[in-house]
Amino acid sequence: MSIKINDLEYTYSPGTPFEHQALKGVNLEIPEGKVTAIIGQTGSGKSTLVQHLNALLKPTKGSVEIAGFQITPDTKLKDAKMLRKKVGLVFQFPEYQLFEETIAKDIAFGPKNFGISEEETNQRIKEVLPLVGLDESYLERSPFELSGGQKRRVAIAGILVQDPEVLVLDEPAAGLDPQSAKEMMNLFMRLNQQAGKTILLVSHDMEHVLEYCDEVIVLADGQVKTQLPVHEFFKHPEILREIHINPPGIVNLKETLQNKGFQINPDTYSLDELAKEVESQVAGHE
Amino acid sequence: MEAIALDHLSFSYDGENPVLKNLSLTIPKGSYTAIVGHNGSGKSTLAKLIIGLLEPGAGQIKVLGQTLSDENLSQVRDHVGIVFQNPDNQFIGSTVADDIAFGLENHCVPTEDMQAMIEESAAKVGMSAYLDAEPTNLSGGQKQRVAIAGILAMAPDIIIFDESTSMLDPQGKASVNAQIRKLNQEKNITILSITHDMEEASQAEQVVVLDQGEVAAVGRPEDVFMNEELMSRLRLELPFALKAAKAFQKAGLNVSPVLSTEALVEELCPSK
Repeated sequence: MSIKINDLEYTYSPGTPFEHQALKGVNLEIPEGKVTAIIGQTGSGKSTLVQHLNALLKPTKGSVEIAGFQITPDTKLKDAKMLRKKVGLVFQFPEYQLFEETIAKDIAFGPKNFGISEEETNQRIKEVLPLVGLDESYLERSPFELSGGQKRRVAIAGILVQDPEVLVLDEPAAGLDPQSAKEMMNLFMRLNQQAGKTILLVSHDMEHVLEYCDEVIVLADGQVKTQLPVHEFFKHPEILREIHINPPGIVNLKETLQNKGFQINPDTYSLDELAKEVESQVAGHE
Repeated sequence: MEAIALDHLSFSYDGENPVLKNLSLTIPKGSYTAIVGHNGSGKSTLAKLIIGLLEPGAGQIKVLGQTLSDENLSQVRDHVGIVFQNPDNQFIGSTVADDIAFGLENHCVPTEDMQAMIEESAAKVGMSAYLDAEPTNLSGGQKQRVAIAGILAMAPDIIIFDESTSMLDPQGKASVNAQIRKLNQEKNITILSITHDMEEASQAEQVVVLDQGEVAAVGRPEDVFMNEELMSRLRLELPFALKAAKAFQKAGLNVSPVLSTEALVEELCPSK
């Protein structure tokens, strides 16, 4: 089932001098089983929007339909518990949220709160560890002995152990070195392709958006500016410039080549193909 | 004179597993050097040794001609500033002005001189409008620029950036990177930048590749990054323009390894 967001509005601190409308009537349908990027400048409403997906925030107006639940301004918090099991939200720098003395306890914290038996939790932990690239030798260690990238894997294991249908990831690769970032993104791709998880990715990294996402949603000033399949989206770098985000390297290169007079196939997104197109058009080519 | 000279430096945290092995390296005064390498290659350990947070197991560290020792450490630190990775972990003051003042207070700068120094440093990083702002209301890039202002107030000769842009969004990264270039070019401050960001490293004059505590390569970014064997062995990402240049060369185009898309396209001429 796709995620449907209908006329969603959200206002922070209503009726106070700090009143601020962060979402101004958002309508979206996010496909099931795909990887969808949500992009936009700081303050565009991205974080406010994703916090609605597991009812951390309740709409001021409008509704969210997700994983068989409907969230409206009247939704009660106690009804949200089962929703949160189905929609896992991974915040930015989740490693700062680790707090237990062992990795096993940290991963088990969520299931414990959802009332899942210890036995089942332990079984789930064993299934989840290899997914995030850790083994059982880590379980009794303190999470604070680990490197930044490893800590983040532990934090993500704590979400995966609840077996969510939808994973919402806020900048999951930020601050990692390129190799760890790649491994992290590949982990999410496996979860999408092999386990069929719907993935929403909030990201500033346009190289990741181009490489890993199926669809792109652009938020600007609390509204949806655009929603397009990824390769369609990157044919319009002017949309990115309007929101002060640099396009991916290849998009920038295609544009620079076109300005110089080269004919470039708009559907080319591979460097090798682009190089061949350019080679056939350079002066002196017979 | 060298800003920093490392002579046969070795270090180990536990006395068993060496983190730095017999490492020698010189950083010329006024230069901009980027140090790249994987996690665990010894990059951050090197920074901590240079500012005397760690002591070498063997070898010598010279900063501005002086060999680091317990006696001259605080004197040497007056000349070397460091900006760390996490913008939230290095704020001390409750306002931007207080934060910049912190280092000055520690150096017993008279209060009447302080205000002008704070304003001057904030202006250099483009944060003049934020002197009364609370740190929590700043973006990551702004926080890092305040950290730089705090260091500039001390008028250092050398600034070390230890992955200072890795937690920032692209705009924050760009603003801090521009700041780094400016400090180097206009103020002639020696820059040592530890980074994973190859686009940032490619703006340096000199790139040092560390691997398992040893210097694997030193040279101009375009020379180091075009060393295919090295880059693939260490699984280091190439800056985009070089990746493109290589793809173009493979397709039979005659282009040189350049560090910007514009320079690459400049070398090509369409047939009509």
